[in-house]
Amino acid sequence: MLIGGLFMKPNFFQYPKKMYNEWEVLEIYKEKFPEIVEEYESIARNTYCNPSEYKQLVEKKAEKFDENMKTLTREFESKELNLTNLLKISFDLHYNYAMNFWIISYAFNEGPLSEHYIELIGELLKKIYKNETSFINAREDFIKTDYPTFYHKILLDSVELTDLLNKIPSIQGDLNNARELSPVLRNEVYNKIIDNLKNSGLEESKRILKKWDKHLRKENLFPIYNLLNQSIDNYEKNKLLDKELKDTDFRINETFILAKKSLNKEDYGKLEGAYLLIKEMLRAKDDIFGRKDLELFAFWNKLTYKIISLAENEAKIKIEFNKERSNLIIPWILEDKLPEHQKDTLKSLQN
Amino acid sequence: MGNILLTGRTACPGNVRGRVKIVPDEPGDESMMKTLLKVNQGDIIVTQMTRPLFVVAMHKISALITDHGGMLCHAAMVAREFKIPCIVGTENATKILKDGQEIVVDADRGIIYEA
Repeated sequence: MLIGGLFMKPNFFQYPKKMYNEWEVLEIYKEKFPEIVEEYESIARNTYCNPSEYKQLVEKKAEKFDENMKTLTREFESKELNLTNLLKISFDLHYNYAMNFWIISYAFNEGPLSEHYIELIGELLKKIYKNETSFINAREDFIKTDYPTFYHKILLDSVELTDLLNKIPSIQGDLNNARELSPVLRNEVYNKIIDNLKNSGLEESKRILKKWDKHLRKENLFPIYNLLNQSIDNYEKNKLLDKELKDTDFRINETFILAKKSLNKEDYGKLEGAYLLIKEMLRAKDDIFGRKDLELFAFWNKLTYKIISLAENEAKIKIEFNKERSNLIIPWILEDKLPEHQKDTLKSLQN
Repeated sequence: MGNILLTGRTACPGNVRGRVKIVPDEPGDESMMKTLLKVNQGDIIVTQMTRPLFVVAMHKISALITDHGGMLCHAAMVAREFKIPCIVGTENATKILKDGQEIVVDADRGIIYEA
């Protein structure tokens, strides 16, 4: 959908000069990967006022990011892990992150363009609502949108889980036992419940286990413990979240009905376009890139720790790693400190 | 109300008083989960940025403060969804605020005060 006539300062299409808390990364990536500037500006022009173009671009970038991550993981697992090879992987990881992840999830979604859409929504809603409280509430709804985040979906899943668990008689005793305990002490009881579900043969148990399959296969039980905690402690509150989501959707539709009556056609188009773009930005941030976060940073940390350890043992370079975001620039710090022969190897690898 | 400790941007409005619970941005689910399970009702989570596991504590906390992020950052999105007062982009809340410290969060104006 193309919405014409949005007021836009020409510099909004330029690579941001500053960004809230992202300026270091903004400058680092501009210096290390100069092509990011052209990439940003070309995307900014092509997706402006165009939620469906933006959505397609996000999907393309996410696909490219995953494809490159698979290659990097394969290299990390199969190559000889000397310092030079690891640094090459680290540079490539940065490049993939900058060009396919950060550029969307941060430069666009938290940069000047998203701010522009938020401001625009405020300006247009002011034309609809003269009452300050109504305006503030509507603005909150429009920035929140009717998109349920990954968190929200987890909690809604826990509501469905509770309804299924209540239909399985053999686990009710353990559920009651868990209820009596503090959440930090429940894991053993939860393990018994999981075993019980595996042996029960009931349709409800099969449905639950199917939903948990990914976690059980990875032997990562924390998401399951979390769901069980939510199911035991917050069933009613989580049901209310579902209601709130439906109410938000209703209120947004009501505002659009009012907007149609009180705004001219051009302004109505702007409001709809800005709202849909914000919603797509939230989806990209949460459902597309947010879901990749844990895996990405687990890999990144593993790689960085390995680099630090080899730098210390092989090249006798000591680097302090305090988990701050800025430490992710370690390869560039290290590059300058490498002995000459390793610098040469690294250079040939990069070429 | 005491001195101003920090400022940031309002992601979700509201005013509350509560105790700080620092949640470090650590790799690995297990250590983060342990910290999050220790969050008490009414605590104010102070973190660099939110991760999916934070959902464990969302119904308990009275406010959310982050070092990083803008109006559409993940913490801001979730705070609006749960209607939790939230201030983002304080830059160094995790360094300035201390675990257990009592503070007042004026998320209408993006200001954090000493209690």
